[in-house]
Amino acid sequence: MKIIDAYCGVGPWATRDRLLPYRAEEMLELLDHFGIEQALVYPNTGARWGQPPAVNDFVLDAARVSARFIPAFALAPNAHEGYPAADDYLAAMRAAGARAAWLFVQGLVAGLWRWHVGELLDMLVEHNIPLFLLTEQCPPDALDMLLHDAPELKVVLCGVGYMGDSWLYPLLQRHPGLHVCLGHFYVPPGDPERFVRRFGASRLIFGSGLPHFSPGGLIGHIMYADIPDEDKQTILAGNMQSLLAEVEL
Amino acid sequence: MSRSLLEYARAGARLDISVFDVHAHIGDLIGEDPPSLKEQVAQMDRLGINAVAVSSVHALVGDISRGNDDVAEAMRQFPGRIVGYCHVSANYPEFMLPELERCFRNDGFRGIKLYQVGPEYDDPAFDPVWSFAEERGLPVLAHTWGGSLTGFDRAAAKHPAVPCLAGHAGSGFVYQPYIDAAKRIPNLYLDLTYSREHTNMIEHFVAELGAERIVWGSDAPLFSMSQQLSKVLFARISDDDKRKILYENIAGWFGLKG
Repeated sequence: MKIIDAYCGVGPWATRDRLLPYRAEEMLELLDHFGIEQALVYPNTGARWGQPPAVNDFVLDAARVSARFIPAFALAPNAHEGYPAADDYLAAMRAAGARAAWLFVQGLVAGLWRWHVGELLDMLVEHNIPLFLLTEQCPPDALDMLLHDAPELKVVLCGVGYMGDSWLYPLLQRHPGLHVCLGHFYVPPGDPERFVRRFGASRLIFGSGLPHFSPGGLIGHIMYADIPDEDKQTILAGNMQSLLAEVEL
Repeated sequence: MSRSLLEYARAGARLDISVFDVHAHIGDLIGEDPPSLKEQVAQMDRLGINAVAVSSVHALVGDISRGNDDVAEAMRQFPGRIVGYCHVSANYPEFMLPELERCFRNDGFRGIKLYQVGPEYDDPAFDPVWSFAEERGLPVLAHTWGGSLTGFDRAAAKHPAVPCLAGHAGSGFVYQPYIDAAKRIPNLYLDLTYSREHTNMIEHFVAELGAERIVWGSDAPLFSMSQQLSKVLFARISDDDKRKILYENIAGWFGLKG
C-alpha cells in the first residue's frame, strides 16, 4: 500500500527529547523503515512558539533534501507592520509548492476568532488549501465556530484522543469539511471499522505525529482492520492525495 | 515463521507466534461504546493473540465485586483465551483479603491488578496484597504514570519473589525513573501498555534493560489492540526480542506454558 504521512514535523524545537529525530536525513530513514512514501511536513518549532514565516525555512530545507517531503506552511496572523498578510503567505506557498497549511493557536497570542484569522481563512478557502489544526490548541467549540463561519474550509484535525468521539462525532456530522488525522492518537475502541461504517473512509487521514510519535502502531491499526483494502488505501494515502490535488495555487 | 515480524505488520497478516496480552480490560468506558467481548476475541483471532489478561473497568472505578464477577464471567465464556486479574483497592482495606480469597477460588484468576487511587503501593494498607501474591506466586500489575511509580518500586524491592509489572512505562516521555527502578529491582518489569507511541522508546528500553525486562499489553478495549501490538512489531529491535516481549518473558507466570 502507498502511505503518505500527513502529520510529520521537521527541524528543531526547544523542548525536544534527545531520543527524538529532527533532521531531514533522520526522518528519511524512519520513512524507509515504516514503508512511508511521502510525508507532508510542518516546522516543529512552529507548533511551540516559533514565529511564522521564518519557521517555514525548516520545511523548505527538508524539501530540498528530498522530494519525499511535501511542504506544509505554518501561517499566523500578525497585526504589526512588516509581517506577511494572507497574499504574502500565498505567494510564498506558490513559490515553494506548499499545498497545505497549519495554524498554531497559542494561548493568548492567537485564537481562531474570525476577526483575527479571517483573511487567512478566506485565502485557504479560495484556493482549496487544507488547514491542519491541533486539538490541544483548538477546543471543540472553537472548531465548531470556525467551520460554521467558513463551511467550505477543509480542516484536518490532529491530536484527537482515543476518548474524543462524544464531541467529535457531532462535529463530523455538522461539518462535512472536517477530517480526522489518526496521529496522535485517534485509536478509539472498535475503530477504524466503526468510524468507517459511520462516516466512510474519506474523512479519516493517516498521519503519525512524527518525530514525537512513531508511525508503526497507526499503520498496523489500519492494516489489521476489518475493512476493504480500498478503504485502507484511501485512509493511508488517498484522502491526503485528493485534498492536495484539489488545491488551486 | 518465514517472514520477519515487521513484514507481518506491514501486510496486516495474522501472526503465527505466541502472543500474550498482559494488560487489557473488559467493561464500559465514559463516552465510548466498546466492542463486545465476542468482538474483542474476534480481534485477537485476527491479530494472532493467544490469550489476554483482563481486569474490569467497573472494578477499577469502584464497583469492585461486580467488576471481578464480570471477569469471572468473561473467563467462563472464553476459557483459555481470557485469564483474570482480581482488582482490590487500599481504599477498602476491610474488603481486600476476603475479595482476594473469593476471586482466587476460581483458577482463571492469575494475577492482581492495582490502581493509583491515593495510598502508595508500599503503604501498609497494601500489605495483604503483597502477602497474598507472595504466598501464591502471583504477578501484580500496577497502574503507574509519567515516571511516578508511587511506591511500586519500593514494594517490588520488598517482595522479590513477586513479579511486578509497572503499567504504562514511559508515559509522558518520562523514561529514566522506570529504567533506574528496573535496573535496581530484578523483579520489576516494564509494561509497554500506553496509548501513545513515542519514537525510539521501545528501542531505548531494550538497549538499557534488555528485552527480558519488558512486557506487552494493549489496554484494549480502551483503544486499539492492533495499534498497540503493531508498535512492537514495527520497533527497530530483533524478532527474538519481540517474541520475548510479546510472550516469552511472562507467559509462565500466568500459567500459559510449562
